[in-house]
Amino acid sequence: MVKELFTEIRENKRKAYIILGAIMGIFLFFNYIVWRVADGDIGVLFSGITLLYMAITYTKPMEMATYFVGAKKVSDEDSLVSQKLNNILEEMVIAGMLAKKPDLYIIESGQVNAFAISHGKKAAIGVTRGLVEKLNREEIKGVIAHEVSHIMHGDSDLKLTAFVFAAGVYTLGWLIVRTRGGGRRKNSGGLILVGLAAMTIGYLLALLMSAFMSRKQETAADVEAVRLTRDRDAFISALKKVRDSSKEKLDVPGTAASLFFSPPSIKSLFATHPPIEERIKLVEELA
Amino acid sequence: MADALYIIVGGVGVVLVWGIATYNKFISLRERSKNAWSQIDVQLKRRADLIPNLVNTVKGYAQHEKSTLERIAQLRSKIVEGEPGERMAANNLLSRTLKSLFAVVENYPELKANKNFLALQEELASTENRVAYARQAYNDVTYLYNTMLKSFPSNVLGNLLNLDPLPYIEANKKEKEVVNVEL
Repeated sequence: MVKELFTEIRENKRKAYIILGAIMGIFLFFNYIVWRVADGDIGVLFSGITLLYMAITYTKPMEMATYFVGAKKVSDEDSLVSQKLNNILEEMVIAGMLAKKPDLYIIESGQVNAFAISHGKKAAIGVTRGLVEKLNREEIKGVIAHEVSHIMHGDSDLKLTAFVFAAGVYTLGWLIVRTRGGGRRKNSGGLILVGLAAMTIGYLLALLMSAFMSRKQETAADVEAVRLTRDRDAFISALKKVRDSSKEKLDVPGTAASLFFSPPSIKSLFATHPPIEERIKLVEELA
Repeated sequence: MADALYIIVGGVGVVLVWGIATYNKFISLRERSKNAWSQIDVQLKRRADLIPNLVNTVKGYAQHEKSTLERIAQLRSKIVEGEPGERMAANNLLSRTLKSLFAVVENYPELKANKNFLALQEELASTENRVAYARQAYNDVTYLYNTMLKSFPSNVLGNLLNLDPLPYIEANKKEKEVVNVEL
């Protein structure tokens, strides 16, 4: 069953690359439209912004993603929390035989959640303050193991790229709407339409992309988390605490949903992860 | 004639590609098992480095636990200097001794509130987990390697290259023999 799962994941990854290509195409397309609709100087401005964005995305995607989701590096000041988290992560890095320990980030939110991103040899794992406060050591270990498994299998690499690009299309649209909203030039109405279209398409693409690759990867990471920790019960109770805290506020862009242990925005039509009840059931059935 | 030649050349090519891929798989698994093995060593050493610190911290607060502390110091030196098998056994024994030490710490509220002690306790607990997880990782990779050595067709290449199965680390065998050392 696990083997089939991984074949399917590979298949989904290929589809994800195709969508990623489409996102880049859409980037270019919107630039073209802006050139056509607006005056020349605005076209130049937007192409400049797009190029700058792509350059930053290419060189610093990790920094960008952590900025977008409001995650800060865990500082040593936070001594006992930092010590415990670092230790748990180190244990799972050893269990999963990762070549390098990912950086640790924290998000100030009461919701129990976590995310993993990686880019080449660099990787980062983030947890919420709620996770540190509400979960015991073993439960935290289960969630961290799930994230470590994403890094092991390279899921988080593609997810990160997808996220920053989709966020880019969205941001571009947002910029157009914001800057031309009060504009008195000709065609400002047309530009706003273009901007709104960009925002919608960026958002939908991010969700569509996640739906393609996420579900199976999440299931695989759940299975792997139990294999790494050899502690199924702790992982189940962690899942239950994640479920019980989902009403707490966690303010991240909707395009980032697929990065998280449990998608923070419930309103999305395209579920990126299997519903948490289903995940609990599946883990309970593991031998 | 030419057809037969193509078939032979093609067949040899396929076998060659398979052979190289399988060989690389064997090597990479063996490297990973070596890594996991050395990780165990690293963590045992880390643990040994933490012990003197712990002994010093506890000494100031809990004079009545002198014999336990001496025992811990003894086991530590066994971990540092002993034979591989002995080291594992000493390590397992140390885990027990530490556990009973941390249990009696309940009687010393001042020690229990000591930040330095709490940090050390967390470090030691984590190191113990790390040893266990390194052992688990080693055994997992060893299992993959040994299974590959046994199953067809990779076993053919394994036999040709004279590859030996890797030994598993049995976690608690030695430990069981010395279970009734009470403190």
